[in-house]
Amino acid sequence: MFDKADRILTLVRGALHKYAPGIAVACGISIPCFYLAGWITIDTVNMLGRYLALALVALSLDLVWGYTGMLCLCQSFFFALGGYAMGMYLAHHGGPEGIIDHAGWKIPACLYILFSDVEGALTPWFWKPFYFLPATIALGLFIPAFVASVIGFFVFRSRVRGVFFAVLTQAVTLAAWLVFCMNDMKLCGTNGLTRFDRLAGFPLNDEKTRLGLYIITLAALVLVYWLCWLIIKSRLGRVLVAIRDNETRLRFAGYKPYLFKMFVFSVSAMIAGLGGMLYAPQMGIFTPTNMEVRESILVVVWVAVGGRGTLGGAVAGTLLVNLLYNYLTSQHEFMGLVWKPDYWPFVLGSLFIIVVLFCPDGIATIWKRLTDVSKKSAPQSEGTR
Amino acid sequence: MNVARKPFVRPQELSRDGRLTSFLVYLEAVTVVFDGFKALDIDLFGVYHNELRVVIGPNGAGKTTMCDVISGKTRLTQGKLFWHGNDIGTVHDIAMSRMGVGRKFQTPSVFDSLTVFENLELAIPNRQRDLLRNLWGKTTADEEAKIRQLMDRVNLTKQSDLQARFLSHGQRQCLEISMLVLAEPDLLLVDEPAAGLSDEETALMADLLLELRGQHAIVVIEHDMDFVRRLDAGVTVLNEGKIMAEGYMEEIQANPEVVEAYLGR
Repeated sequence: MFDKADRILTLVRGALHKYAPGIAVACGISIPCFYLAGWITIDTVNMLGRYLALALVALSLDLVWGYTGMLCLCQSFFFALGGYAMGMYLAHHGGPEGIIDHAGWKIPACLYILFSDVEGALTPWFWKPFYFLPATIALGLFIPAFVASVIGFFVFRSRVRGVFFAVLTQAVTLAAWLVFCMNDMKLCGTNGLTRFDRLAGFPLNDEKTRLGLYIITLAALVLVYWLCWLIIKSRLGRVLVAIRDNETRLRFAGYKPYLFKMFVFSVSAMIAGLGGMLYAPQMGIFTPTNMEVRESILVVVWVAVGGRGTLGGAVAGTLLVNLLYNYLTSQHEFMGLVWKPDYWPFVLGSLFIIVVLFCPDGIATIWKRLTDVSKKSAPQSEGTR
Repeated sequence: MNVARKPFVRPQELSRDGRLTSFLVYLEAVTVVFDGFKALDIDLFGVYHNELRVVIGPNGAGKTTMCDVISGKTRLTQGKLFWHGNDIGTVHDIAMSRMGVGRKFQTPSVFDSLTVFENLELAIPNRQRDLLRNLWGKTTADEEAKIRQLMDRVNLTKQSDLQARFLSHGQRQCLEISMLVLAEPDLLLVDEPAAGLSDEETALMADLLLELRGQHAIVVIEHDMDFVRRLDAGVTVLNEGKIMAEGYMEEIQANPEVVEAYLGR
């Protein structure tokens, strides 16, 4: 009898292992169904949609950090570049009608607030491509990739590695944040981009639009996940892991590591930018706070909790930490004890410490141990590098 | 392999043109200075095409520095480095490796999280240059057969799908050498291949190197005298950055200077 139960359990575990991506996608698809059935509100769907957009950023960091071994603290910057691109488009198409500059171009409302007292204010030239959606999407992907390849060219060619790379990218993020906060940059300063009303003609406060955005984000995540998987499984993916393991050896094997690093860094920036573009319309506002160094470090926490070097782990970690954040930053009472939102940083900190100490490869290892039924599993890993 | 041994010809006995044509790699009046310390000071040193050469010497004699110079890791302070008779100056490591120098490091260095097979896959020649070919390209059946054959040779077939970090020290040494061999270099620089190996593994390593002689030029740096004797090859003795003696083991052992500096102790 136990034998039978055991066999069923093994079967379930095997199925979980085999169809994990399918199950995850099914969960993602079930959310709109729950909404249509009236079980959850559109706000929940919207929140999950935002978290899926953030999962894209986590995937992008996982490529660079988990697989290639470069701890990058630039991810929020790339995210914000995409977010600002989409935000500028949305700001163009939102707010009161009829604010026109001397050249006949519409002044976005959030920009108008800052420049209404300036005589002869014109919409800056760099805002203009972002009036058109296709150009916005193209630029939202291209600009982060371009910035990343420029940074990468100088940083990787001069063989900046390890901690120095982390510090350098953090400095880049900080500098970019300071620049974006300046009013003179005509990017709406610390106020950020606001007054998002319509995306491609669809009103953003409409529930159907928000549901559509969720579905688009889910589709984007699935697509990007698949692309990342293709990269990881290719020869190039193994070169990336080889860079993480032993870059010197790789150079003596005739590879130019900086080319591969530049490639993966640019791809990752593009993915983070895509995340930003999907996040902005769902958030309804995009400000420089989204590109603070803190945000970059949060992405590191998500990936670390989920399990670096596993794509599924990055996504799972993001969703887990953010759902936890969402739950624990509201007040709860249980048997006379009061949970206050202020406690959240302690939870986040302890979560990170627990993962680093007891589960260095993240919750992905737990999942693997639960579901992997193959007998020929390799000997236990002796921790991480 | 009982080939009648030719007498060892030292570079000093050749004309300059002769040296340029008969040596695969040839160092002329080379010095390497680190912070005022002369780590290497070589008048003439050459490795013949397809020759097996052993470099011995006490610690700090400049053996590894010489390897570094040839593999492009360290720049020459002075002097000339000839490769196939061409003065190439100092070329950096990636270019040197693409020109056909394979380097095995003192500590076995392989890619820990990749499997044995994947490690070898990365070493397939002419796959390194192009980023996109790495993205789309697949390993061909020919290449796979070659890898399998090599794994068979070094007794790693069973470990084919095992991550390299789970290999023993000796297996890692073998894997690293296999990676070099697969790249079909003209010159193999092998830094202490027998270090930390069991007797059995040492024998396997020596056999492997002997098998490779004639296909590549090989420079072996080694401390283990039994291992050196087993290789039965030309020996260069380095001491304090200078070449002290060159010749076969018997000649070296008969050299009182060498005995004084190194062997006798």
